[in-house]
Amino acid sequence: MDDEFLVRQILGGSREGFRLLVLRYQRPLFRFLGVLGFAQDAAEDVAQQTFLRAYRSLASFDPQQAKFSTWLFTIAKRLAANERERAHHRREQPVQDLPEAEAPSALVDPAVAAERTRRLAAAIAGLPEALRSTFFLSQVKELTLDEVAAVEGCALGTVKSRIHRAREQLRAALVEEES
Amino acid sequence: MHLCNETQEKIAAGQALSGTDQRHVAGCAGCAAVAASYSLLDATLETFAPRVPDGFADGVMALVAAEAGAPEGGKVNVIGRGQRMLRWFDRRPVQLIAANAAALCAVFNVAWFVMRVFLADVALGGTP
Repeated sequence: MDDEFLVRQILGGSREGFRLLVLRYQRPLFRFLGVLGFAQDAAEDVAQQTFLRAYRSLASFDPQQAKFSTWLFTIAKRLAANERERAHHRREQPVQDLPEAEAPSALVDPAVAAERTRRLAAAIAGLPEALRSTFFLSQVKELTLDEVAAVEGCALGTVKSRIHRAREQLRAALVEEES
Repeated sequence: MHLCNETQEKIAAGQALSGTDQRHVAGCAGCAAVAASYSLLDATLETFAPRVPDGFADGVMALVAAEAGAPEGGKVNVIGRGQRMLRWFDRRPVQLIAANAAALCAVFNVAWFVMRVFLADVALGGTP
């Protein structure tokens, strides 16, 4: 069942279709928010708000204009920016430690893997906001580069350039200390 | 050299490598090193997996049901007027205006109190 079909079902009265959309997008959304630097609680909050906002505004979603994933991540990006702004006014830090990483592969020394993850987390936190956001949207497998460009509101060339710069900076941070 | 630049550009941008590119990487120490460093980056990025809390979707659906105010399977309802008002009051400029107005009222009340207590005494010939 594709997203547009589910949206039609929901608008037709079946709320169960929305559960399928939540299940489909919860993980990519958490991944996006997590690597954007949101701590677990803040990520949960923004993810929940994103789905609620999507549900409230579903009637205004136009599949001719954008794919559902593009529309959903546009909402998430806006809410994430608002949350950062609010936290800034409250002098709080929504960006705390990056989320816990999955257990490293058995082939790699766990200490080495943990150290790499720590260095990468620090490098991610040091990326400019625009690079970070574009780069991590590009990591969401559900989005094509054209869709990332639509979410970011910039040209495809800008998206490619940002991804290139972000990858280069992160790679340099990993490799420099490794060597 | 030109091929090295092109290949490394593709690797850096995260693009898929063609068969020719892959053969070149296999035989070129410089490109192989670049490919290895980016593979390390991609592998490390894969370990970032924020946890989706158990029952997250159920929580969202419960909120949706509460907001729509209809039993499961009901139609999509518009948000209530009270909630809309709350969201309106949640805006920062509105909060600032309300806070300033409250502060102004407090200052006015204090001034009014001082005037009534002290100035009235002075007018009647008392000692302030």
